[in-house]
Amino acid sequence: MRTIAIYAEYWVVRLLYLLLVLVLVYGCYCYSQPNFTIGGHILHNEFYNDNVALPMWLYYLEYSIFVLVILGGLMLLITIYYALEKKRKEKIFRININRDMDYLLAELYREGGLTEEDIRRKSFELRKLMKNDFAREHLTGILRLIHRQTSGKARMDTELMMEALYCEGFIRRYLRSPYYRHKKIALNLIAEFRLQGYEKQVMKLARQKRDTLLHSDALAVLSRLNMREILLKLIEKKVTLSLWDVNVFIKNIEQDKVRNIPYAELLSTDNGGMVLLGIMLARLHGRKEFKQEMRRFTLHKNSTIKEEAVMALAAFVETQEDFEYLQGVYGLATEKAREEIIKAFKSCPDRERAMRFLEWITVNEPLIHKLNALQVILTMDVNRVIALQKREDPMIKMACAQVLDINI
Amino acid sequence: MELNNWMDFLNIFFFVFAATLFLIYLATAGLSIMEVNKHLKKSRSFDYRMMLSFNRLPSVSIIAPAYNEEMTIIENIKCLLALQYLDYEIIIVNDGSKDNSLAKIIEHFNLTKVERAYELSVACAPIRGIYQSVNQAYSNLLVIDKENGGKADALNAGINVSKKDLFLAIDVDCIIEPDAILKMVKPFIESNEHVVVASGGVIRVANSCEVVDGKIVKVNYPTNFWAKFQVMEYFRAFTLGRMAWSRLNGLLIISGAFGMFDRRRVIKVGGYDKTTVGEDLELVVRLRRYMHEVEKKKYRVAFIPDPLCWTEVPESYKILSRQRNRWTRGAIDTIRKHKRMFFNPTYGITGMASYPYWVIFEWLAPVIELAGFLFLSYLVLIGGVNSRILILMLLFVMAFSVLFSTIALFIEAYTYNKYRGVKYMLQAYLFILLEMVVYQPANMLFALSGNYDFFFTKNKKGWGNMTRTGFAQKKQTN
Repeated sequence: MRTIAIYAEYWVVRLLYLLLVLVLVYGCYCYSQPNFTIGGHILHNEFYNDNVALPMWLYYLEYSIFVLVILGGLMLLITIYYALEKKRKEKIFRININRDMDYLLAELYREGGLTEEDIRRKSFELRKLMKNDFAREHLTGILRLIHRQTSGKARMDTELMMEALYCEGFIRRYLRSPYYRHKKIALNLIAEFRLQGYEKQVMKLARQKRDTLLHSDALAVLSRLNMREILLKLIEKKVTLSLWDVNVFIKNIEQDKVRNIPYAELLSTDNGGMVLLGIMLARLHGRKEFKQEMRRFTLHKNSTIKEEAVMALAAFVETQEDFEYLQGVYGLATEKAREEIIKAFKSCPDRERAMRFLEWITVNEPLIHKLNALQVILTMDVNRVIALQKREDPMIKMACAQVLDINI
Repeated sequence: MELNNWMDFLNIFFFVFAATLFLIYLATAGLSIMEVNKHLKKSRSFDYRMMLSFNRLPSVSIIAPAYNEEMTIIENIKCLLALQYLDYEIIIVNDGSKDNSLAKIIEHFNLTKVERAYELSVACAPIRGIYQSVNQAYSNLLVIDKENGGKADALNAGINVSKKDLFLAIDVDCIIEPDAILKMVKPFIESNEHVVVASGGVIRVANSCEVVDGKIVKVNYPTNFWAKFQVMEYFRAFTLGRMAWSRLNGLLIISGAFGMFDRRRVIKVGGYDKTTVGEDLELVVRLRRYMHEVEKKKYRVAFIPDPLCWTEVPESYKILSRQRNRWTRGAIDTIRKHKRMFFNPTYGITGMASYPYWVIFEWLAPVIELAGFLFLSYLVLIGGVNSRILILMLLFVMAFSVLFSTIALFIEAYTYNKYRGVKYMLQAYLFILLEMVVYQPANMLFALSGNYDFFFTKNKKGWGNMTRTGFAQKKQTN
């Protein structure tokens, strides 16, 4: 019933706007007529000039001016009202939030802490206050804020309190609501408290393509839930991930220290976003067993995937063969990836080979790579840098000077 | 052709021009509201600071040309050092200042001359030295000392010395919001389908605002007569104008006071053009051409409707006229340089909509308005105008202008609500009403003088003396 009420409000507001537009258009027509009919009554148009036959467009013009002036004045009043109301609401909101947060925090941190019985009793009291969705939004919002800012027993107690509030209906209703704001509130609660049982609805939001904002938000929430199962499901449903989504996933994985990632499945899918996520995670978590897959990806058509694969290989480099492979892909690599390759050569077992390669870069590559190569050469043999500084090329001289400058 | 036919033709011409402009304004209002709404949905509950823990964030150089800024340069740099971002550097380009700007910076921030290597990827005047701080707290501050070459030249020097992925070009005396870099970087990493080549943000008027330690602590409505008009003008231009064009992916200008660019692509197009005074507009147009002609990829010039940068606007008629004269000359210069884009479908929405809009409704509009005014005056003199129709037309234009500006005011209250209080709202409304009889005619004169200077005098390239009074700085007391 409450979901129907939300939808009813949504459509009634839009219908009212449409009605207003229709009234304005009808008003324009009536203004240009000597008489008009409303509800069966014929009314004389006082603005119509009965003595002189004026063109129709003149009436339209007069009517437009009339409407514009009224709208201008109304707009000003609405602006003033809105600005003042917003200011007042912000003030009340701040006061209420602070008051309620202080109250709950005092309870959570009181001497002796809260027992399970206390939590049940408190939650029961709070449930009595949750007479409408506004109150539910407010209370769950406060619990969410407290949950974010606390740790240990207090944090666990807020989770128990949230569970005892029985908000499932509210959350499901808000997930189904046509308003983005409602969906966002529901998603935030699910993410913060890792609420189970909503994966299907959230996955549906993640799969829809019409609202990219909602798609990203839903993915961000999924990244806080059971990671392995969620990733496998996303692979199965072929959900696309943007670079932004990949970043959010990685951030949450690192924050929650998740390690049961299905690397193999991520790396073997056709989905570019998933592959990128797999490569970045494999690199971050040092999963060197995927070296062969990374080599395959250095030839991928997507430049970001290619770049990440090369950077992963640079991070996984161990044997001389690995270094030789890196040297081989250097020419195909992007600027960022070349940087990583150069840095990796610091630990090359064949020093002379590494030196030759780095010197080649110093002589032939753009300034940014000259500098990176010289930094590595400096750590291996400062005399080589001094020798390179004697070369004729002014760019090499400048790069050597920078690398040797202790102030930088 | 008989005189009557000429008059009919002119009548129709001016009517079509006005009607088209009216429809464009209606469309921009509608598109802007949709775009602002979409952005607010995204950003209202979004914590930008979460980006600080992202794995792949582009690095940023903030490049700030400085010329004779010794009064405020230290405070401005301190403000830049406090921005929220991980991998960024500040490059202050001392563009041959005649005062003690450089000496002051060196002393305050413990700078020493360093051997920093750089490539002359884009042309700039000779660099005399590069300075970096020995104090770890200022390790991301670089100062370039170079011979005077103008703003575009100074920016090019900064681009040459920078080794970061993106650069943020700012005016050194602007006040930047702490999370500005995060917001400006977001479009670059968000989009899957489009490459973002540049992003811009809203600039607000900082005159009369309370500034403490380089931060705006209280937003006040300006007390200066001319600055009050510019508040509304900036609302309209940024909130209604640029948001609409951004939605269509046809935005042609990123403000020179605050704009972020992909450094490698800017190098590929040759950096800023030193020969024009509208270097900000010209660079964006050139980038767009490059993307259509060379890379041929889907791309965007993004725009963030958040107020991220506060700047001081001219408070005197003389300085304002110089500024608008320069803007007009810059626009004309850019339009001439890239005239092949005009209604050219090769350039997509830029060629078919934004560029023609700039030609007809930005460049030519003051000329057409003047011609319209003269024509109308002639008709009135010969008794060829129905007074009722004339009055109605004028009332219509006035009513629409007022409504359009009030919509901009409403969007400001609905979104950021920086100007709080009935007093400010009513003041803004009063100046909306006065605009039509004071500010619009003045702007038209400035634009006409810009046209005249560009075509008939030698003053095509000068900036003029842009005297600024500086923000009223208060010392924070603890």
